[in-house]
Amino acid sequence: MSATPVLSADNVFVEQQKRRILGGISLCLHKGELLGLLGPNGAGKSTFMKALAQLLPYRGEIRCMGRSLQQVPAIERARLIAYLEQSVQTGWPIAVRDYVALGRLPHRLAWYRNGHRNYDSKAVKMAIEQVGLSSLDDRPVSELSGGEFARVRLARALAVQTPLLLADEPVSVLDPFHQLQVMELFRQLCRDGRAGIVVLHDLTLASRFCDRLMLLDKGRTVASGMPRQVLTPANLQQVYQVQAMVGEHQQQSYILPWSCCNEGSSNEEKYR
Amino acid sequence: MYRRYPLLNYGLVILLLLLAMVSLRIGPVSISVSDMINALVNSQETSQTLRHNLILIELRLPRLLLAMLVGASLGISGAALQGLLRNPLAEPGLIGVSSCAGLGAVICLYFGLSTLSMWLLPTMAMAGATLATLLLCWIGRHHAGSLTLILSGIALSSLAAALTSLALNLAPSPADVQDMVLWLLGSLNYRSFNDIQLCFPFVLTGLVLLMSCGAKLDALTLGEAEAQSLGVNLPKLQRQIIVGTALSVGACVAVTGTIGFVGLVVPHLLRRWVDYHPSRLLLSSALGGAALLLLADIALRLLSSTQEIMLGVVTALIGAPFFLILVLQQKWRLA
Repeated sequence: MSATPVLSADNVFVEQQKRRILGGISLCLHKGELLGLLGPNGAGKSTFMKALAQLLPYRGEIRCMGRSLQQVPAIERARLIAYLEQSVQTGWPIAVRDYVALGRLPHRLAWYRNGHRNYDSKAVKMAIEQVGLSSLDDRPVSELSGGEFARVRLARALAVQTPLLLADEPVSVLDPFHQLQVMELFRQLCRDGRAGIVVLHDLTLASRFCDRLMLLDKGRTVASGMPRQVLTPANLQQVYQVQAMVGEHQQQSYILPWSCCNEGSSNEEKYR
Repeated sequence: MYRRYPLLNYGLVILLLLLAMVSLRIGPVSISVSDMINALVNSQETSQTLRHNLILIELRLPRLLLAMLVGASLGISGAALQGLLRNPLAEPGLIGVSSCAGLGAVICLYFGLSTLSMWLLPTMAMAGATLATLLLCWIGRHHAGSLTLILSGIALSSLAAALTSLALNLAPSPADVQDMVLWLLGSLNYRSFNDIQLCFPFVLTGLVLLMSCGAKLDALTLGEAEAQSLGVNLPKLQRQIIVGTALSVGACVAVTGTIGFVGLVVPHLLRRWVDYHPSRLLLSSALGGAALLLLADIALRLLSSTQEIMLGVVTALIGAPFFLILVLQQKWRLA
């Protein structure tokens, strides 16, 4: 691991309408690492991702490649961090290739340079190939299935070619085959020298593909470390209020949420 | 399908030149192309060339140039606003710029200020547009989303319309009411190079501001958060488009009165031909807007006999049913 972390966050606080959403979160991410961000709905995962991407005001310090992000101009920041929002509606029905090419915007400082243009089209082609959608590159994004569109969005983020990739629930709308394919791609990208943070709800995918996990609840870090240290029955019960089955297949753990902790009570009592 | 948009722009330029030629030719005195060239080059030779020169320079050329400027401003503003708000129903009228400019002019007519100086009416209209812009910029500065901006624009537009109605309601004399209504309907008649001189610097600045935001509008296709993560400064982009629209449309409304539907219909009509790219739509909509307004002006000149039909009425008559057909066609295609 290199000495300078790709990303470091120190005591990040976020408040919205006088309500504390994040209460002092810190992390350090090195080149080659894939970090899984876990937590129940409303834990502050998406808010933390947005703070890391500098999309909302926060207190504390976030540094990328050793530079304080609040001091870095927006266009330079865009070349350091690629951000994939949780869900987004298709805007205008532009072709897949053109949608992915939007990721090259931060690099198009001098649009009239032919060299840049050639490299842009190479980067776009590569990103589309990485998500396995080369056959659809002429199709309007409005005509894609939910899963295909999710992969096109990922290709757009890959086309930026940043050292850090932030993806908020990138596999939540994908079928099992493409979930595994996309997580494999994230792991491969990190092995090739990038660093990534993915927000996940699937505990088995998090355990299998992420190097480290961070478990959030009510805007605070509950546990952080290797998957086996984080995904313990006690942590899952405390944070998710579920009892989980933990097993092992081919020397890798799988975690199946099995029952709610307050199973004895009726549903009405549970949601009251 | 791919790369057909440069052809579209060339086609629109050719159409615009043809329409310009027709616009210069037609009128109570029909002037052939050779007479036109003769009148513009050797204006002093005969009394006929002198007469043609006067008709062209004093009447038809200012009307032609103003139609092109106003059409281009409305077209490009509509395209930019639709890209910014990611809403195909957005147009300059929607954000309240046109109606506030109209209100400024009506106040000027109400108090009889237009008789003091010919510059006062356009100046008041531009002041109305500026006021609307400042208010929208203030709303945009507080990180407001697109929906807040649309709703604020609608509220502003409704307020300006209500105040305009109040001015009409309390007008000192029926003649004042007629002045106000005729001005609000929009017209290119009896406009001179003085009017073009007045609005041109503002229109040009507005057009430059709007043309330079193409790539950022493309990025907004990804949604506001992802566009911002690509380095797009959203509040700045909002300001740039609002100011650009206010300058170009406000200045045009100031000399011609309110002309609707061009900003709505033209981008909608051309979007498919530019493969739905908001950036490519800007230039095409400017050219298309200029062509449509010129066409409407030619149509009304051919149709008008003793009483002039107002340009705003013609654009609404052509634009509204056309837009309804487009919307229904889209609905049927989706079904």
